[in-house]
Amino acid sequence: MNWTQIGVIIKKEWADTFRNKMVFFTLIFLPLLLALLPLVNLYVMQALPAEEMSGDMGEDLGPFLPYVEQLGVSPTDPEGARQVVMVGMASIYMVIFLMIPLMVPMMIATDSIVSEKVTKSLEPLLATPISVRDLLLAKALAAVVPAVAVTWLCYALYGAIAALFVPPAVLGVILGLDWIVGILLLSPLLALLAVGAGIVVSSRVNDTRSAQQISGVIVLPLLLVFIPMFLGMFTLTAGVFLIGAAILVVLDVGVLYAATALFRRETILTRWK
Amino acid sequence: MIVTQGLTRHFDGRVAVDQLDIEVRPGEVFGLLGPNGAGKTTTVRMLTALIAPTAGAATVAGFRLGKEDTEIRRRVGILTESPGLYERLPVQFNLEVFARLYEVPAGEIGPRVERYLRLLDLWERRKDAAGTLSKGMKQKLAIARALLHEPQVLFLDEPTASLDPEAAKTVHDFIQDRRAEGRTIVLCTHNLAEADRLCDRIAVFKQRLIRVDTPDNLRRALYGRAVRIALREVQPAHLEAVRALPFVKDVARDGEVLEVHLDDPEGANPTLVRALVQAGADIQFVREAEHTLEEVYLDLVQEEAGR
Repeated sequence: MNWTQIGVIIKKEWADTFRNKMVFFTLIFLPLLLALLPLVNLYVMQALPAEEMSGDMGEDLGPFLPYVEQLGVSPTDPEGARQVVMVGMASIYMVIFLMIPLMVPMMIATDSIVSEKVTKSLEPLLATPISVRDLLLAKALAAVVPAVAVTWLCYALYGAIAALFVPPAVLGVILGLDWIVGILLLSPLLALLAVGAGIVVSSRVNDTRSAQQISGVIVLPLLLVFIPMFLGMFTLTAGVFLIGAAILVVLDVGVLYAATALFRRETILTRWK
Repeated sequence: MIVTQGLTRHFDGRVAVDQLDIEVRPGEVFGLLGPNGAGKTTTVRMLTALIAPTAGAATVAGFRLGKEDTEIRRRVGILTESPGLYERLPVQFNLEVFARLYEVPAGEIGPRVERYLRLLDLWERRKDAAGTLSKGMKQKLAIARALLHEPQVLFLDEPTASLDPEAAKTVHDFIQDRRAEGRTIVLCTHNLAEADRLCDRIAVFKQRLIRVDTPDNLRRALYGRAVRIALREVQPAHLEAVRALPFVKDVARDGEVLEVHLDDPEGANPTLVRALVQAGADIQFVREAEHTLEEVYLDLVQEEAGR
């Protein structure tokens, strides 16, 4: 493994990425926006009088009922109902931090590969002594590292700002061990999955937007597994995240194997469309 | 510098290159000529270790294709059919990336990048995004990129395609300068005047090798040598006088010009001219008949197609 060459490619990828306004927006502003919107929502919930917020709900807390027991509050107490709703919503919002590591690297990887195909810059690159394994690794790292960094940063920012105004029970969800484990563990694995899917799809299309849409269709359904959580059927714990991580490792290996098989000099030059 | 033996490449059962045997000598400019789809790009891709041959063997710069590919890549430079630049990145950065990938020592990258940018009149544009350059400038930047690591062998695929005459001349001069440095250059081109001007030897091929030689030898092999003699007015007696000479192989009339085929114009011309003057001809000028490389190429390709 030649880390000098890998470093050169990563530097090139980042220099190129930050000059693409669309990718730059997706990398910086979209995650920030996704992290700030829940904060606004939580702030409004916290700022509204408890009676006004939970007035219509009474005992009908629907999917949030599991939190009633967990928090040990009375659902008929407006303050208790508000806490239940806030905890429930905070749990759902956490899924955002699993969406960011899927969206960001996919955007970077597809832009990187499709633009190389369109400008035909892959052939001179492949003519250099760099090994395709190092090239693929460099492209994957160039997409995964900023995605994970931005996810963790947004999460830290979200937690830090939330700590200023949310009740301890809500903060316990946001900065609880379950989600810390989940985000630290799942972000890199999800990012790798997105990169692998991005590479596989990019090898077949010549348009960045199509590549991103198709990749999105492939990986975003992963988030469907969280629907039962929205329905109150289960809560995400560190144990659930560990199982999820194990499944993702298997998926990552499969997708990266497919990407590696496609990412060969011969295949790129003779088979890629 | 390059030796191929039975180099063959198939794509899904279709033959792209068939049993190619060529030898490119060190320091020569070697032209690869052939119609579209003849297998020129496939040949270049095989010889630059980008794709593997289906059969056959080759050595490039002393290294075996398929066994020492990384060593080959270190020693060859390639100008691909399209420049393939990082269009959003500055000109200088484009070259620095490739200098590092080609393992140019860190201390030499800056001076070498500057040298080639200055040589190709791109230094003033070094901070501009490559995408803002004109087509000719992009081509020159791609040529600079192919040379950064001082390769022993340089493959140029259509280096002047769609360039204006001024930019094409810069590229031609640059190629000749690299030849003067002793670099081996393989030139793929459809521009036959360019091949005639730049190449020491050319290989005409269409999937398989049709002929390889110097442009002059190809002309002679196909057409022999001839002189064209313009007269004020061609008379039958002039033709008879020429035909009577023992060294004349053939005579053809083209208006008021006689094209006389013979083996040794330098030795025979004085006798030929005297015979015409004695037959009463008013000679206006005498020059050697020249066939363009285009004629040679088209005849060779048509002859091959007729087989």
